[in-house]
Formats: sequence, C-alpha cells, structure tokens
Amino acid sequence: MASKPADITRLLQQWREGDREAESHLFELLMPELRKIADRYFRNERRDHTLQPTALINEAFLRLVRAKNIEWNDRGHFFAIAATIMRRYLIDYARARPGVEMLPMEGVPDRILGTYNRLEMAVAVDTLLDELEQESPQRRSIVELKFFLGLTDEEASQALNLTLHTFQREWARARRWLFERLNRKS
Amino acid sequence: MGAGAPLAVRTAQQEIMKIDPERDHRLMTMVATALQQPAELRRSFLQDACHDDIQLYLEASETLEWEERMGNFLLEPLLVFKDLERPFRPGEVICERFEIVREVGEGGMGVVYEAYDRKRKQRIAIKSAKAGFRRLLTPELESALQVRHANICLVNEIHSADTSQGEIDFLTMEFLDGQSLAAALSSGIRFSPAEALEIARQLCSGLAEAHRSAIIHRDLKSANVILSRSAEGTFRAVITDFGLANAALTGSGELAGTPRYMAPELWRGEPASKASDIYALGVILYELITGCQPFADRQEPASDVSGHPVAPSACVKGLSRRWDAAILPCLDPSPAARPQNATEVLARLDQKPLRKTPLVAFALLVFLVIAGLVPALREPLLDHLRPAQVRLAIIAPTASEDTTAQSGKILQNVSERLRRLRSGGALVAVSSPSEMLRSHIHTAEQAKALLRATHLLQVTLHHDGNDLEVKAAVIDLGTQAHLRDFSGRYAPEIVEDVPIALTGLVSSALRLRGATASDTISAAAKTFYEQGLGSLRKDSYHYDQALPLLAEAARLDPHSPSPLAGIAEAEIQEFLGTKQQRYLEESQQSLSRAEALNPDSVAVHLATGLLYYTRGQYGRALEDYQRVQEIDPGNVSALLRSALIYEAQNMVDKAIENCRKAIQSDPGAAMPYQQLGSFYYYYGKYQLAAEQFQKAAARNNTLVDAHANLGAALIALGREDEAEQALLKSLTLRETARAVSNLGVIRDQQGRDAEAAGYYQRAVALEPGNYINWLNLGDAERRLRHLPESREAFRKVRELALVLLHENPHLGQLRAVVAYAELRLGHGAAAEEEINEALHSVTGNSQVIYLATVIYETLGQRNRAIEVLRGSTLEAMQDINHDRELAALRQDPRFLQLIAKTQESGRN
Repeated sequence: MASKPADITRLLQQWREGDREAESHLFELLMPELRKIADRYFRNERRDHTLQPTALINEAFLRLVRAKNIEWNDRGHFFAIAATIMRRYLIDYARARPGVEMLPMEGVPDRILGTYNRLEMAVAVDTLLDELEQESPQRRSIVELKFFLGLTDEEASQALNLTLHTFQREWARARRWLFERLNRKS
Repeated sequence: MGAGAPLAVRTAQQEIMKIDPERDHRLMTMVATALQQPAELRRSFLQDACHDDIQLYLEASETLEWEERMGNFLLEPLLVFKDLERPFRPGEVICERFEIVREVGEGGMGVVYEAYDRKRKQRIAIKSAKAGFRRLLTPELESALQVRHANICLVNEIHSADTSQGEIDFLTMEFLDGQSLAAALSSGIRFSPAEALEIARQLCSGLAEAHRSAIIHRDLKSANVILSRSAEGTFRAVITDFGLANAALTGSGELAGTPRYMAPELWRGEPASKASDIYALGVILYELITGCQPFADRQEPASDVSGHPVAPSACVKGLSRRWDAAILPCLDPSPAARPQNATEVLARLDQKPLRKTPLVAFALLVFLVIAGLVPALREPLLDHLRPAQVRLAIIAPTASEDTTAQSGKILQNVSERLRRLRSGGALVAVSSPSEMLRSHIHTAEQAKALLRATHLLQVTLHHDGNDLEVKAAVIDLGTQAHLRDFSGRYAPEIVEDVPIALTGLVSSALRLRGATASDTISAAAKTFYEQGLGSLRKDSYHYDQALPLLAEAARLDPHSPSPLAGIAEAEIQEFLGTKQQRYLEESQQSLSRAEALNPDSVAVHLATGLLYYTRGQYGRALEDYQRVQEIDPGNVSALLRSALIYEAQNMVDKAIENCRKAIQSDPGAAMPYQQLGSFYYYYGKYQLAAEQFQKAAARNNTLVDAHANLGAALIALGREDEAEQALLKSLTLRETARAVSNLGVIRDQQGRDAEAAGYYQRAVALEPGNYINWLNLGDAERRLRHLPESREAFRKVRELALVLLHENPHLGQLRAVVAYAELRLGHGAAAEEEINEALHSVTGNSQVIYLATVIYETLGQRNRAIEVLRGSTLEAMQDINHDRELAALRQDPRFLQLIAKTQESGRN
C-alpha cells in the first residue's frame, strides 16, 4: 500500500488538470487498493452472492471519477474520499440485504446495545460523520477506515500518514466523540 | 449518561490536537497495558507508570476511563464475516451424507456443528479441525471409538472431506442437547449436594469405564462435561472429547491441558496418566460442589502447586464431610497417593454415615430415601437444562408469488433479531428460514423430527390493496397449543415494523428476556407523548387533554407502539368517566394497532392489562403485568396495577406488598403512596391512609386526588376541620366531584343537609358517571324529604353500579351499592339478596360492612346487623358512629359490647 503514494498524488494532480490518460493510470493504480478493501468483505461470501468485488470497485471508481472537481491534496485525502464512497456503498449494501451476516455486538455497553443493532448503529454513526468532520476531518476518515472499511490500525495509520500511536489516540478520541453523541440520543 | 457526565464537558477543549508522536506512544502503550490488568489495579499501574508526569497521568487515566466505558464500541467493523476459518457452512452437505445444520460451538482447535446424518437418519454432532489443527487422528482416538458408556460421548466415525481449504478430518458423534458444566457454573447455577452427587456419580462411572479400556482423557475439565438428557428424558452427564487432547498438541512442546485442571506432575513435564485424569476429576468435583476453584487460577506452575486446597466442607456450610473424603485425595500432589480409579472416588462419595439403628428401621429408611429422593432430585437437574429446550423453527410460509421474497426477508430479519436477544433463563436456538430451506425442511413435522424443534413460528402474509396483512402464531410443537396468536395490518409506511412485531410475538410467547425493541420513540414525538402520558397517569380526569397529545405523537412517529397504547389507556379512562361502552371498543382498536407494531412492548402490556382489568379478566391482566416486570423490573405502573388486582381478589397483603415494592423502586413517586393510602382507606385503616395521602401530597403537591383522599380519610377520623382544609386545597387545584362531594359529607355529618345536598348536586354535575355522587345526593335528598329527587338519584346509582358490575362481575362492593339502592327504592327483598351476595364475595371491606349494617338495621333485622359488625374492625366502626340514622343501633347493648371489644383488641 505504501508503494506508490507519489504516483497516485501525481496522477491525481494530472487528472485534476484534465489529463484523460492519467485517469486510466490512476484506475490501474487504485484498483489493487480498492480490491484489497473489497476483498476483505467479500472474500468469504457465498458463490451465489449477487455482488461481485469487481462490481463494487467499478462503482466506487465511477463515483470517484464523477467527483473529479474535488481538490486532491494528497494520498491521504484520496483515501479519505475513497473511504467515504465505500462507506456509503457498504451502508446501502447492508441495508439492502437484511440477510447479510451481522454478528451480534459483544462487549458494547448496554445503553447502546439496547438501542441499536449493528446496522442501526452504523447508520447512526454515518449521520454523525458530517458533524465530526467539522471538528476534525481526520477523525472522520479514521472512523471510515476503521469501522466501515475494517482496516487494521497499521493499515489505517499508514493511509493517513500518522504514527501508529497517534493514530490510535485519534481513533480513541473519535470513538469517544461518537459514543457521547449516541448515548445522548439513546 | 450517568457517571460519565462530568467527563463529557472537557472534550471541546481537547480538540486542539497536539501532534507529539513520542507522547502518544507513551500514552497509548500505557493505556493498552493498563487495560490488560485487572480493573482494580489499573489506576495504580498508571500512577506508577507516570509518576513523573501528572499531565500524562491525567490524560492516560481519562483515556482509560473512556475505554472502560466504551468497551468494544465500534471496534468491530460494520461487516464481519465470521467464517474465515470455518471448514463447513450451514446448509452444506459433506460426503454426500451429512447436512450441516448450524454451528454449535467452537474450541481452540475445532468447530462443532449440529448436523443431520442422511444415512442413519439422525441428528448428530460433527467435530472438525480448524486450519492448522488438521490432524485429529491419534491411536488413542481410534480406541476411544470402541468405548460405549452412557456417560461418555459416543464417537461414531472419523471421516475426511475435500473442501476449498483442502482435506479436513472430522468426527461424527452423538448430538448432546444441553450445556457444559462450565457454562452452567459460570451462569451462576449452584447445584444442591444431592444434585452434585448425581452428576459426580455419572462422571465417575464414565471415567472409570474409560480407564478400564486404558483410555486417558488428558484434558478433562468442566467444559468437557455436558449436562444433557437421555432419550428416555432422564438426566445425563456426559464426558466429551476423550483422547482429543493429543491432537491439539502443536508440536512446539507446548503444554496440552488446561492449567487449572493440570496435575503438578504435568507441570513438570511428566506424561499424562490415569492419575492426572483423577486429579482433574477432583478439580471438577470441587468446582461442582463449591462453585469455586481449589487453587487460585494458575497459568504456570506456581510454588504452591503442591499445596493443599481448602476443604470443600469449609467452603459450603453444612456440607457432608464425605465430599472432603472423596475430593481432597484426588488433589494430592503425589500421583501415587491419589485414588487408584474413579470407582474408588465414587465409593468415598457414596459412603453412608454410620448409624446405630435397628435393622428393619434402617432398611425402611433407605427405602424411603430412595423412593422420595430420586424423582425429586432428577427433576431439578433437568430444570438446569431448560435453556436448550427451546428450539424455535421459523418456516418460510407458502405464500403467493408477490409475498414470497418479502416474507423471506422479514423472517430472516426476525431470526437475526431473536438471536440478538439476551434471553436470560431461556436460551433459544433459532433455525432461520434459509437454514430450514437449505436443510430441506418445509413442515413443522420435519422441523420437529430433524431439528428437535420445540416451537414453531408460523406466519402468513397477504396483500390487501396497499396494506399487508400478517397473521402469525407461536406453536408449542409438543402439545400443538398456540402459545400466542397474532394478527396485524400494515400500511406501506409501517411495513418495516413487521419483523419487530414478530420478534415481539416470539419473545412474549416464550417469555424471553433481554430487551427486544425497547419502547423507543422519535425525539419529535417524544415531547407530545410524555406530556400526554403525564396527564394520563396523573389522575383519571385528564384523558381529554391526553388524547390529542398522544394522537399527535402517534402521527409523528407511526412506528412506535407507545402513543397508540397510551391512546388505548386514555379511552379506557374515558369509558370509566362516561360509562359509554363504545370507548372500550375504541380502546381495543387502538390497542390492536399498537400490538401490530410490537406486542411485547411495555406500553402495550400495560394498556392490555388495564383493558383486561376493566373487563374483570384479572388473570390475563396479571399475565401482562408480570411480563412488564420481566422486561422492566420495578416498573411502578405494573406493580401498582397488579396491586389493584390483588386487592380486588381480597389479597390485601399482596396488594400492599406491591405498593411497597413500587415505593422502593421509585421513592420519589407520589402514586404508590396514593394507592397504598386507598387500600388502607378501603379497609378502614384511616389513620394509616391519611399518612400515605400526606406523603403522596408531599411528593406531588399538585396531585388533586391526594388532597381529596386525605380529606376523606380525615373525615373518617372525625377531624373535620383538617379535612375541610385538605379538600379546599384540592379544590384550588381542580374542582373535582370527589372533593366537592367530600365537603358535602362534612356538612352532612354536621347535620347541614341542605348545604350538603348543594355540594352533592355540584358533584353530580361534575361527574355524572360516578355512582357515589348520586348515592350521597340520594341520601341528602331523602333526609330533606325530597323523595322524588331521592328516588331518581338511587335509580341512577343502581344503573351505574350495574354497568360496572356487568363489565366486571368480581367487584363485590358494587353489589353492596346496588343493594343499598334497592333498599332506598323500597325493594327490600332485592336489597337483602344483593347484600348477602356482597358479604359472601368480599370480606373485611368497611364500605360493604357499613352498607350491610344500614340495610339490615333499616329492614328491622338488628340481629343480622350486629352479626355483620362482629367481623368489623375498630376503624370500620367509625362509619357507624358517624351515621345519624343508626342512633338506635348504637344504643343496643350488644353494639356497646362490640365497641368495647374492638377498642380493646385495637389497643392490643
């Protein structure tokens, strides 16, 4: 994942400037990253599942391309936006399939457990993310990478150019912020 | 948010992020390390670790506190696919023979599935290895296949299957429907010595048999003991996983056993033996009888590994010494000193205390003990197994084309919701429709035969225009009884609530614990709902105010059952206020709509209970209130309403106990005192009643009825001035018929009949549906010799009382009222008949006693009047003393005797 940050940034910049070729290069570069994310979810899906990983990535990239007047600052910025797209996708995905396997939440305080199931909590968290971004855009990305995409701490900290422990501290803060909001609601 | 509130304030200031990787490293490492310590040591650990940096300590302890509070919140990603290392999946058929039904357990090295063996046509268990633990086969395991004993899990065969993860070995064995001893103990079950003895006997018997076949278990522990029942339905303890321990060896020389069951010699690297199995048996028996560990939980050979534990009889009060004699030698550090085999352990346990008794008597005693003990002993043991007894199958309905997909989705959702229930006592195994389909199960009979399903959720869906009609039932497959039927009609905007409703149907039918969808309501609707409920619960006068508020709440949140249930309650109050039957019908309709959203909601149960109560169906009302107590222990409304039912069934002590529980549950609430006071009042304990009403008023000074009732109690105590003050206070809050009428009573007792009649007329105008107002008015008019008006009033009394009696035939005191009305209408015979009936059905009610006395006295039956008074209390006599028309009776020497007697017993 850390292999081609410079390329991606350069391509993003060229793409922003309207370079059509950069777009397809970018696609090739992003593909493995997005596939990795998608694989995490769908690797173990049953064969008859309606959603193929490629379809997910195609759709994610299409959305990405449509949003190309966004300013790409750096690779972290890209990940944040890719994660946002994936998050929306996953929420829709989970909503559309009540049968998708969701484990009961364990070790979560009763107050929250009594109010939300996993999907309901994800939706509740989702609606709070814009507000969280006002406070800290980075924490918003952290939540997306960790909770929605399921990256490990190591992967997510690399994506955001943070040291592992600074990342962990920020992740704890972001959870706490959400925890307080959700608790207030329930 | 309870204890967390002070912390929340500080977050805003901390948003200014200081990037200091070095500091973050220290901080997060420390917090992570602290979290691994026992909770009580974490603070001191942090103090030690940051002794030089108070700022760091503050931040670390704050972070720690939040981590403790948040638990796993958000730590697991949105979507988790748990079968990463799963060799098989539910629905899969392996070796063209075994249908995987569901996963039932997971150990360090293997996964256990429930499966159906097509060839043998029976339910079996499959134990497979996880990746990395593929080689299960050991020579010992082969021999384990040969052992046949009721207390050893039967291993049938070893198979191999080709999977995407390569070839996997698995064992097929008998399916044990039950829970492990470890699970039972950790869920808090404590076995009585008799129960423990039965389990111990079976374990010793099984282990002895294995040892006779030269099979060593190697990893004997309470997690490997399954408490189950035999095909005949008797209790059965089974040792599982014989000979599997070797397969778990990873080859790196790691210890194979579970530390706290490991004999000292195993710590030293000596091989496992019968003696080390005996040691483990000793640990299990110790846990079984004491509920504790013989040694502190140890992870490595501690220096005290060769020490002796506390004797079981020192842990459990009154425990027979034979437990010490059986267990302590098993735990001897020296293998040679332990009992040679499990039979010897059993013999020590079975040792009877010596007694010198004649032989015949002794034989008789033994016979009696066995005859009495065995059934009584086995049944409670089976009770512990109840958790596994509820197996709910959800079968996808055969529906028309357009509803098939929809019903599949709905039922899948229901089964997931049910699995999420933390069901306390009753653990429910749910077979979802998709699992059923994959296993080719389409009918209740198949579910019963193949899955041993005990209960069935049966659902039919039907489209009617835009609406969806749902009919459902939870059926006990043993008796075919419908535990609960359900029907609901869903407009498109509330179709999404069907799964919640069906989950509620199941949880209420099976009385599952753990919040289902708790009574949630949207923020917008909540304000209206709470206001509406507030006026509804305050007293019985405000239903007209409550109704529009609750209707608005229902409109704002069409998914919440609470506003609709509230409307149902308001309509019941409206019925009670107006005695118009149609309000009860409307209430039933509102309630059906609420039930369609969630039949297991607290609000719905409360409203249902109230409706049953109003109709005199006390048993059913109590069921609903008890269900509320299960979902929401200490619910004040449920306690108080159950109290009303107990009171109506002459169980006054229980009624009062419920009020006390309600007071305990919410000491600041006025209603429990108010109701307790009413009970005391009705039973003539006016002083106690007055005290309770005062307490109610002190907790809620705007409680109209508290002041009015206080007035009534004070009148009964003859404290007319204070009574008048209380009543006037009540009138400043709201002009209620009750207070006006009670002021009339004061005038009445002062002999000011005309003034009294004026008050009663006002009361009747305020509350024409209450027979008491008419009764008082009738008496006042009678004394004023306004006979037509008086008769008119008593006709009204009879009419209203009969309406209530028709709704609820249990209310015996109403019979007394009807009797009195008949008396005043000149129907002496009818009066006598009714009052006899009333006295027969209610005892000790001062109102009934008073009315009966008046009736018999007026009918010239002094003897019977005196007879009635013999059962009366001192306080109830007050009514007689205050009644001007009973002056003649009070002159009777027998009455004077009675007064003297009750006063005397009152003083004692």
